[in-house]
Amino acid sequence: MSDGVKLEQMGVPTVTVCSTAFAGAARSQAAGRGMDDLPVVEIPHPMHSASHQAVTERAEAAISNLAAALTARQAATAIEAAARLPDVLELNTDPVALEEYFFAQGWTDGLPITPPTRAAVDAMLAHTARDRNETLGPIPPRMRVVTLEKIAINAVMAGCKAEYFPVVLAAVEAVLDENCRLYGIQTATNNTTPLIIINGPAIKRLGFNAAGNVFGPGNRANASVGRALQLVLRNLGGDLPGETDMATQGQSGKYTFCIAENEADSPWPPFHVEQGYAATDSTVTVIGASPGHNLFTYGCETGAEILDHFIGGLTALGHNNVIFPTGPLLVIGPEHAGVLARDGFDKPAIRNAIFERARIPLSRFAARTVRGLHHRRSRWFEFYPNADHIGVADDASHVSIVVAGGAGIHSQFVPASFSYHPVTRVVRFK
Amino acid sequence: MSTIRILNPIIHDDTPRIPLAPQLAALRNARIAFVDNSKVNADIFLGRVKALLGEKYGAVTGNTVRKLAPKDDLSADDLKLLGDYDAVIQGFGD
Repeated sequence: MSDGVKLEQMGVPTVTVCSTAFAGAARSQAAGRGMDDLPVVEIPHPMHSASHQAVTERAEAAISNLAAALTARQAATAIEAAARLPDVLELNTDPVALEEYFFAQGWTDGLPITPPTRAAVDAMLAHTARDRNETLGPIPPRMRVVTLEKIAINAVMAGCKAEYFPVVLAAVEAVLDENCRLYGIQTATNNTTPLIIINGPAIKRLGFNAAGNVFGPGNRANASVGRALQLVLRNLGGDLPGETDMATQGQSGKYTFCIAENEADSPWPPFHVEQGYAATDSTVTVIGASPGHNLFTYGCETGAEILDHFIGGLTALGHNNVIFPTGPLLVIGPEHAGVLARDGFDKPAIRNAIFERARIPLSRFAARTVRGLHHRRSRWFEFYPNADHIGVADDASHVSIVVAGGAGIHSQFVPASFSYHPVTRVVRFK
Repeated sequence: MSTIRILNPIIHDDTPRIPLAPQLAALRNARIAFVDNSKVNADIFLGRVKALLGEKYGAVTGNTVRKLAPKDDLSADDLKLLGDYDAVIQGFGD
């Protein structure tokens, strides 16, 4: 829709074809860019699995509408604006009534929130030297420019302590970097959502969990910072399930998805140091991510055996690092990291092993998928024009590795997608 | 009833309305380009549309720009190329 708006602004009339399941989302995205009457012609859903004949017949059925969209454009109809609520709302203090109000407005992720009072929001903003009216954005898919105050309101709602706010701000800025590809993440049928990874002194300073249950519940910093970002994307970016967020199944990371690297128990340099930051820098890294696939190395005693299991997990069909040119993320548990390091593996060696060995024979895919891979993974086929296999990364350097978790022989392969690469921002404490 | 004041967590859309480009006077002899967003079957669909625009409407069909990935924005070069046409049909959201 972004392309359609640009072309129309250039004076070129367009029409965009959408299947019925996604036409509403398309119109909502166009409206966010100021063109709520951008022509959309609907065709039956689904198209992906339709036969060649069905696709052809649908093109024939749509042609008159396509012609009309270019030659008989409908005059724009005024859209009645939704009733605007004031910036300050006076609500019943009864806790149940208050929560029901927020649910009724659609301002939550399905869970109760902390009421964003002026005092709580001011306390949040007191942890940054930046002006509350400073703006960030636009945040897709509705492309809204937002103030730091609005972000702080959502951070309060998420349950953040005030001192977490600089981390929340860094996370918002990171996902808005064009390399994160937030628009794609937010509007796809894929289950991708931004994963936040914390590095540096902020981990201990703010009490983030990097150890046992790092992806799980129980830690306020992990839970609320991840949730704050998701509420910002929902309430300020306008990413609403079924309206603009068209994820087929979604994932629980859309409630919260935030971990810290277990730098204390890692035998290797932390992720942010590998990216060129000082160990003393506190950073936030984001990447479009699916839920992790557990890598349980039952019976493995050596680093080589552990790596074999990692590679086995990466060479399944259907995960995003087959289709997307983004490299995968490995979240390695400290016990695995210890054995790997003992046996001479460092992060570069693991990356190289994954790049060289995590390859899937093209014979495992249907012919149409192979044709699609040649297009979507064209960079791979540029390097290996006669390849009879596809790797999970176009280069060893595209494999990201962090160490996180507690005791046990588990790591995770986190399929990464949309983001060209992880995006890192320094946390600016006051 | 006692009340509490809370701050509104959302913002309203205040995006200025952008007018559409003028419509084509006719499709006959109009130069039409296409954008294939690389969704499966988009090429087949647009290929048939291309043929029909020529056969039934006398349009002059031109380039099809194929995106590397559906969510990628068109590059500046692609926009420049498409900007030379009278109209563009893009497909498809699925």
